Amino acid sequence: MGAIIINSLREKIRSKTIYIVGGIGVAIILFLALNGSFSFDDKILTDCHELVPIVLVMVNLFASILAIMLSLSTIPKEFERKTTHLVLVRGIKQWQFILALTISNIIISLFSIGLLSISVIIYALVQGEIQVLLKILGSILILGLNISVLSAITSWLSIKLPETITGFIGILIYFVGVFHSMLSIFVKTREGFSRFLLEGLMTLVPNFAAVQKQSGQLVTGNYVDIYPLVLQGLFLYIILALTFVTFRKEV
Amino acid sequence: MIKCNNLIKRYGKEEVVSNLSFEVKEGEVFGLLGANGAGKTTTIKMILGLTNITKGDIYIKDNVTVGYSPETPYFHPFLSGYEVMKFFAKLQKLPSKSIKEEIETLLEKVGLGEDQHKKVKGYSKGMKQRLAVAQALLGDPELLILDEPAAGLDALGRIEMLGLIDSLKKEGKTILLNSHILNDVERVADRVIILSKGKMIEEVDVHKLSKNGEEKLEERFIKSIGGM
Repeated sequence: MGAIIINSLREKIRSKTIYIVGGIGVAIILFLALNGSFSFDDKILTDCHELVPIVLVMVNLFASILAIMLSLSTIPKEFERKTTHLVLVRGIKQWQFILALTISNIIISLFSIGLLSISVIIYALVQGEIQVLLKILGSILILGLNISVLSAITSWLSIKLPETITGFIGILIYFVGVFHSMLSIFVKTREGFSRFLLEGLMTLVPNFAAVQKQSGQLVTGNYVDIYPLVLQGLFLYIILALTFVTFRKEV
Repeated sequence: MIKCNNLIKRYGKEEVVSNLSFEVKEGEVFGLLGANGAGKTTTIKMILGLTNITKGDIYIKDNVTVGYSPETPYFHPFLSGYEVMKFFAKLQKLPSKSIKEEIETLLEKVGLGEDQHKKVKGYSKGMKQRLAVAQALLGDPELLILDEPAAGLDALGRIEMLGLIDSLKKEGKTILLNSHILNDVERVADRVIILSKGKMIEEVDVHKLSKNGEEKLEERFIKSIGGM
C-alpha cells in the first residue's frame, strides 16, 4: 500500500492546482490581512491577536476548496486509466487500493494547508509576533483534522459518484459543517418529522465549526475543548472504514 | 491451466459473452481471435477476476502465478521504465534483494535496456507496450495473459514482440494471447478460438492449418465469421 500512496503523491505534487489555488490563496489572505480589510462592528481590526484567528478561518476555507479539488478525481481517474487492473491482478484488494488513494488525498490536502499557512506565518512575522508562531502551528494542526475529514469524505464519495456531483456534495458538506452550530439552532426550531429528519442529516455532517473554533481558541490562548477534536477524529475513522466496504462492481 | 465452462457475461440486457467454453493447456500459446467487440477483453477480464461472471465457471490451476499485459497500458509519465517496474515489483512483494537484477534483465529482454531510466512520457506507444509485457513478466509467472501485445508496434517491434512470445513459450510458459492481428497469432499460437459477438464460432489448431498449407488462418477466420 505504501508504494501506491507514494506513487499517487508523486503525481499530485506535480499538480498545478495546488500551486495556483494555493498561491492565489496566500496572496489574497496576505493582502486582506495587511491592508486592514477585516472589520467587526464597524471597527477595523488591526491587532494581530484579533486578526490571526480570522486569517486562520480563511486558510481553512482555501484549504477546504483545495482538499475537495485534489480529492475528487484521484480514485475515478485510476479506474478510468485502468491502472486498477495491473494493481488488482497482483492480489491487492480493491479496498486496499482505494484506502491507499484516500490516504494520499489526505496527505496532499494536509500539504496544501501547510502551504497556505505560509500566509499566517508571514503575517505574524510582519507584525513582529514571533511568540505566536508555535500557537499558529498548533492551530494549523487542529485545522488539519477538518481538512483530513473533508478530503476523506470527498474521496469516499468519488468511489461511486461522478466528479461534478462529488464536488458539489463536498462543497455542500463543507458549508453545512462550517455553519453547523447555527444550523443546529435552526433545526431545534423545527417540529415533528422535519426536525427528526434534519437532526439526522446534521449528525451525518462533521462539525467543522466546532474544530475551527478550537483552533481559534488555541491561537488566542484560551481554553481548548478536546471533545470536538475527538469527535472529528472518530468521524475520520468512520469515513476511512467506509472505504473498506464501498467498491466498484466494474473495474 | 485454464478451463472456462459456459461463460456468460451480460451488461444490463446486452450479452457480450455467450456460453463460451474453452480450455488452455499447460505450455501452449492459446489465441483469442475476433473483431473489435467480439468479447475477447471481457473474457480476459473474467479470467483475471476483474469483472464478475454472470453465469458459468472458470477453473484456474491452483497456486498458479499470473502475469497480465493490458491492451492500453497507462504508466505514470513522470516515472522511468525502471521505476514503473519497481512499483509493480513492490506491489507483488518480490524479494527486495533481487528486484534490481530482475528488473534490468526483464527490461533488457523486451528491448528497453537502454531506455530504462528514461521517463515514460518520452516512450513511444510501442515502448509502453513492451514495458507492459515486461511488468507482466515480474516474478516469473507460469501463466501470461497478453491483451493485444503487438498493438501500436511498428513492423520491427512486432517481429521482436513475436520473437519474445516465442522464447517465452520455449521457456514453458502458458500464454493466453488476445489479438486481432491474424498473422501474428498464426505465427505464435498453437490453438485459437474465433469469437464473434461474444460467441465461439470455431476452434482452430494452428499447426494443422500450417501443415495443410492450403488454408491460412485469415481465410478460416473470414469463413468463420461469415465475411466477404
